[in-house]
Amino acid sequence: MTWELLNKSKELFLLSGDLNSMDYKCTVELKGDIFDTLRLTSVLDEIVDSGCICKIKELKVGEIRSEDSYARIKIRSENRKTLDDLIESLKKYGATPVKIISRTIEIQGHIVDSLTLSKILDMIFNNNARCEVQEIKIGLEKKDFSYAKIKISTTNQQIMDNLLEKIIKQGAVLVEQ
Amino acid sequence: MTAKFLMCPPDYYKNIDYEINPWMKKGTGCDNEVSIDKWNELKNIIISLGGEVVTMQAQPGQPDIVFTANAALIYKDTAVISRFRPPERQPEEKFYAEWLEKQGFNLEYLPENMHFEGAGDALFSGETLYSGYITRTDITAHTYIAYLLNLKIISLELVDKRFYHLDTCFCPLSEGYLIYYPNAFDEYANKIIEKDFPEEKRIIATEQEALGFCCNAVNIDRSVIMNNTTDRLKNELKEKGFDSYEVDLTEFMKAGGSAKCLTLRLD
Repeated sequence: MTWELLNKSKELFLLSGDLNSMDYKCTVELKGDIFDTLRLTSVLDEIVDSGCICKIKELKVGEIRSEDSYARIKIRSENRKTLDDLIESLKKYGATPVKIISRTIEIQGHIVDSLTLSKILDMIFNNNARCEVQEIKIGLEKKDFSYAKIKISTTNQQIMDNLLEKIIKQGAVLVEQ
Repeated sequence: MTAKFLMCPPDYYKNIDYEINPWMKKGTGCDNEVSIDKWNELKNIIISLGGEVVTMQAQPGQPDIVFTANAALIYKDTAVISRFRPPERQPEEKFYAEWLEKQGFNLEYLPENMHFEGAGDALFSGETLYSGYITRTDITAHTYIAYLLNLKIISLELVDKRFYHLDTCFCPLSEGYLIYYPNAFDEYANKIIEKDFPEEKRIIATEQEALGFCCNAVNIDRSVIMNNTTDRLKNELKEKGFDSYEVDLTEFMKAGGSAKCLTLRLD
């Protein structure tokens, strides 16, 4: 892995434009010797050439020769077919679509003063999952309940299962999907 | 107002026949005569300090019924009856409920499968109810009770199995003081305790003191009744204006309980 390649990645990231204006999205990941073999560079070039835009969501560099590097890239497109063709084409570099698993939970009670809400959010981040607080209501009076609805996302089913088990012990309930 | 306590004599408290906490070792013998003597000593100290003690009948086959703190949460004229997590203690629920109903309390029950172990896991400091969870009580019970009784409940997570009930590691005293053992709680609970109780009101127990059940104490005004403890703790209590009264409750510690566990405050 060279600094030039890292800079190239950053450059492509900066060129990637406004992700929110694109309707179709997919996340891919690739792992292994992705820098020295220029696989990451090839993937990023092909994304840009296709007219899609991307953002590198995660980048890990193997610290020793035998250690894999890893990249997770979110791709967006204005067109379903363009995105599908691109994803198919990227497979030749070993880039595979990542399945995002999402579950939504609700929690209510004295969750602010008991730090239960903070604890749940910390659990999510500490497990490398992501979350979106979709709704929050703070009790105005001392005895009023507070409420939060949180969407949790991760790429790993085991992480999600472990996380939900812990969060449910904190009083959260799963929202039916 | 006179402090009023429910106690249950240890008539059938003899051997440890099951293990539902790290203190219990199946097959351990408990000296019934010593237990009765020490239970009476505790009762007499409470009375000597101006407290009133009422008793309920012990039940054969239910040795832990002596730990009346786990009968219910008492709030004004309402008793929220416990739903024990260990099946071994579940038969006690009906005896506690019958007794409390006869005393004129309005009984409230939690939904099935929502565990809550009464005043063992729910302790008032002023108007706020602090409640422990994870090991024995479910946090969902806190929300249910807060709604039921219109109370502010602060949930504190217990992380050391030896301190399986809140009253084994957290003892609110009069005028906002507190004896507690920080390592029994997670970091969030410790932050809450440090925020809610000013440093000068917090009395921190050492591990040795906590393992001697110093936090499982009965408080009446400026008096604290507990199992035998250290001079250090007694001196600190004295400096804060509290008199200590000790009873050797070793026999009850074999089942994981001490002074506070043996009493349920009714007023």
